[in-house]
Amino acid sequence: MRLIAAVISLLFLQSYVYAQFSWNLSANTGIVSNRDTLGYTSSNNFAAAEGSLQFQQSDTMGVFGIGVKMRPEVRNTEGNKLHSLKTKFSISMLREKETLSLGVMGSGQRQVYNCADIALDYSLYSAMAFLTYYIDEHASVITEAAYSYQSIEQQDTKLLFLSTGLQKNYGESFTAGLSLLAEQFDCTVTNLLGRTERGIDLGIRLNFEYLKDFTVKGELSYIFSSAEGTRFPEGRQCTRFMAGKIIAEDYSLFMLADYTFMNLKNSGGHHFTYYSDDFENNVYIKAAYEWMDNYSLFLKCGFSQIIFQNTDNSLQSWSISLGCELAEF
Amino acid sequence: MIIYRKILVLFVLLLPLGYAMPQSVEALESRFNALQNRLSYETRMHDSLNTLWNNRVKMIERVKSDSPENKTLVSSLMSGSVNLSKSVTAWGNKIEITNRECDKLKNQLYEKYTQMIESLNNVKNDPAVKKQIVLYTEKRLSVSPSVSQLSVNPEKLISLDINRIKNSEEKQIYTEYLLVARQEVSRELDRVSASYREADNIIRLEKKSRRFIEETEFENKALYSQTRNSKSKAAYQSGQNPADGAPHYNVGNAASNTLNAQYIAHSMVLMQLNNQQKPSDSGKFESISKNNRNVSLIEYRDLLAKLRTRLQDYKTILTHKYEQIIGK
Repeated sequence: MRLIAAVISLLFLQSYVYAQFSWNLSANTGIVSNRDTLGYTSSNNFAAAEGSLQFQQSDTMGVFGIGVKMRPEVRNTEGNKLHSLKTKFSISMLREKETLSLGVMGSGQRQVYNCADIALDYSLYSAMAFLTYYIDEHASVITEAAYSYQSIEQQDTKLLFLSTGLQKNYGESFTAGLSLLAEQFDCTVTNLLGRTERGIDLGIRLNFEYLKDFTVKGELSYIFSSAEGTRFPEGRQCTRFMAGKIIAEDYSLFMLADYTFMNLKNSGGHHFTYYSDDFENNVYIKAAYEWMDNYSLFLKCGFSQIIFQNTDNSLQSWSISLGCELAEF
Repeated sequence: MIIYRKILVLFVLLLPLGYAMPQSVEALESRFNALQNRLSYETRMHDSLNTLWNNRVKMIERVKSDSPENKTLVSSLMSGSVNLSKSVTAWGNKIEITNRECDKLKNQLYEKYTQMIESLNNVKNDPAVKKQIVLYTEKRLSVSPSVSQLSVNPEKLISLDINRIKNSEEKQIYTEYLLVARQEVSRELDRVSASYREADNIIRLEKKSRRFIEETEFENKALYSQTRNSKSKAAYQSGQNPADGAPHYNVGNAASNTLNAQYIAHSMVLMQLNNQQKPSDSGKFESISKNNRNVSLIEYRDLLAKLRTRLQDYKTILTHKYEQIIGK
């Protein structure tokens, strides 16, 4: 590993002072139970593995990082086996000078699904840059721009995203911020009925984070959307909440919840082809026991509710899984 | 209408941010002084109750030995002393809470004074400004992190040969020296271990929570949510997070100045224990002490780990030598 780190530093970056590889491997197996509002129920079991490898090197001016992540999974539903593979590659660089820091990042993600009669191939490519200006020790202004191209089945989406906001530290452990968001989307359905929908999202986001004996993070976004066939503003509120604690050295408990509240009455029945946030309300909980250094056993539970805009139908899923993880913490 | 309502809700949500704005130096100083007064009052109360309790314990012992048949008196004295002991503990807890608040305020004041000194340094040709710099430097010293050099002389300790002790007077001097040194090293070891545990816990918690969000999104989320979340991911991957191992340069971390000061103070102790004239990582030390860059929490934790090991070594040596001298 050290030799590879030295070679990479020699090839790409010189005079670096700190280099490290970090990695993790995990595997889990469990069951998922689905139920939709029409009364259809199904359940399946699954087994998955996940691995990631990251290389990070820093010098007196900033940091360079490169990473790859994979997740193969097999699902067994009523005798049919669904195989899937998610792969993600990312590269990032951060430069800092006095009160400014500039970061650039590129990533590519591919998801392939295969079973007897389905073969799906999703891909996502994105590039982003962010500039941080430190006003003083407590406050900074972060501006970011991103471009993303997503291809899912017969739907291609191009996104241009801009945001700017103020982040402020209150004491050693609490941070809060307020940002303005803007996103332009261009979504093309490439089947026989092919059509393109263009639109814009404007919004404001409030976030906070506390990190000391325990951690709590929260985000509250108000997004107003406009697209062809809708009346502005079409609003929705997205909330995210995360909490976690390490209990008695070896045990840890984490929870992540997302909830989206929509008000579609201005659209007169029109449904957007694209929404920049997941249309999914969910809660995920993970309890882990680190039974030796870097090795832990975990139990994960999840509940999600997906609302289908075109049918006003919804799908609820419960999942529970057991697994083990080998990772540096 | 809904829009106005939403804007109103947002304002209500933002109001607490306004209240949480940083306070002025004067306000912090006056709070600090008030806390110091409270601390002195609480310490006085604790000490006088403690004296009363000690006297009560002595009295019980005396009554027990002088008139063991008077069980009523013993039990009434004992029940009174239980209440007294509870009060002593309660005042002790109060002192601990006030001390913690004082430490927090000290850190805030340390940062404020550092900022003021830095801004005054730009115009230091003015004699009045020079006076102010001296004043704030004095004030900063009074609230500097309480890590001081140990009184143990490492060279003397290592070269201390028990077999060369000639008489009981020398033995007495060495015994006292070793006892005091061991107590001091133990206290320092406890402090360093507590700081290490705190820093390590924050680092582990941050890494675990980040990993939890990443794995949950990668496992469950559709592709669409990626763009909005990319900022935090990029920042983490670029090592911008204070808990990462990467160095940081005047980044907007409120705790940076305090952490830098603590890093320097602990480096000095490690230097002393290693019997070195300058720290082993002198380049890093210099750039941190000049405030050219901020120390990361991982760097701070790693330094504490080294210091903890060194202090444990010294404690072992001191204990060994103390036992040798007692057994002689």
